[in-house]
Amino acid sequence: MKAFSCADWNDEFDGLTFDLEAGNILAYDNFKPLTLVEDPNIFKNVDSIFSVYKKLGNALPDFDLTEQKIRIGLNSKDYNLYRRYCANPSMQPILNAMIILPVLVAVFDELKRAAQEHESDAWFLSLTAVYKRRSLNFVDVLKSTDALTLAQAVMGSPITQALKSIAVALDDATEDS
Amino acid sequence: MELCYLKGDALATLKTGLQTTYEKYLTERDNSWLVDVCGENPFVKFRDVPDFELTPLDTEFDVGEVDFRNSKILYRNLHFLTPRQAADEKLWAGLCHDAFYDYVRRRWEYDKLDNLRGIKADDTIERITNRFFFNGNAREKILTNTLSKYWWAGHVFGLDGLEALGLKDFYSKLFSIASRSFMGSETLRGGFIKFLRHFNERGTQLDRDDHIRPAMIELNKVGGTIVLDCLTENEVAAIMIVHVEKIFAARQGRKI
Repeated sequence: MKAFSCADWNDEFDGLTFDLEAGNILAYDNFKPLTLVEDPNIFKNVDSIFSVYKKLGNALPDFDLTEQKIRIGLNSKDYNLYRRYCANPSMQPILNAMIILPVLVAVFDELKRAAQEHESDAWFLSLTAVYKRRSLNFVDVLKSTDALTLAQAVMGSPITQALKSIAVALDDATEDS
Repeated sequence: MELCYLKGDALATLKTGLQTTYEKYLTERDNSWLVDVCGENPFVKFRDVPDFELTPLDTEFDVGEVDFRNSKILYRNLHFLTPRQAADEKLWAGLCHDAFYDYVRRRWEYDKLDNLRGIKADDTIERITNRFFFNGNAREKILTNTLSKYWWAGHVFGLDGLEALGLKDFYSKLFSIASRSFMGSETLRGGFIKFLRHFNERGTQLDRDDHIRPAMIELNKVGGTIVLDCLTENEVAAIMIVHVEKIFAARQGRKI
């Protein structure tokens, strides 16, 4: 492109023209990365950012934040029991409160300490996207709210849901007997 | 041939449990031990494909030629994979632990225990993680896994481009080239292949360190002043060709 000029340019460029070649850079901006988040139902389905797996050996449960999902490791006995009941809808709130809730509290504690270390992790992006849809800044919310409150809000009062499930299960058992 | 991928929780169990199970990769000729470790069948069927075999290992082909041939074989037979599927650890870890378990073991000579004595457990675990699973950043991991690197070599360069890349130092060339971020551009890839072909057609052997890397550095430098994606493949190739010809000329005491 020969003798290029633009009427919208700064006055300092008045009267100036430029011969441009393919690829010449006229201006730049630091674009923010575009994040595409797949699953919008993170609060309805914690499976979208968590995975529970069997750890070899007899160690206590732990969690790992380095993969696409937050991985929760259970020893063989605990995992086999978890697998036996995790597909049962009436057991899911109880298992979520026992297993997912404490891990999510620990995750929020970790994020309060060092959110920037996890900014590119898929599970962190999912959490951020959900708060964004509620017009909230996730990092600001992290600073102003304690981890237990955050976790309970994300999971929709898991302790209450678990207690309700226990009550239903035991009341049903009482009626049957 | 049935292609299976690993279930997500089985993948996590196997990958995190290597401290306990790594010796099984060295001692077990078939993968039946996986069911004992995972407590269930760890695989899920992906799809059926016509049978195919990778390059035989007990032949005169050296490692570079094995990798070169396997890139063409695997990509030709699994060309239907989308990039997203091909970036999924569950798929490649599944193939490494199922359909190609024996092949991957023999490729790394895990069937020859004498060669592994004296190697530290941590080193062995690191290598098993790299070869049977994914390890490293987004680009490294797909180019390090034994099988996924073959598919991605075919996908990044195309079957014709693999011929241009050539046998010599095949894997180290593949890794150093394909792991660069500019390889994500089709124009730059095409220009790079044309650069290689230019010298191939003239019977000139290019060395990875003396010619190919300097050419890529030069392209990167030019990319600091112009947007390379605006160029044509021929223009991209020309930048690298001119630079390498200057290198040859300098060695011969000529000026261009």
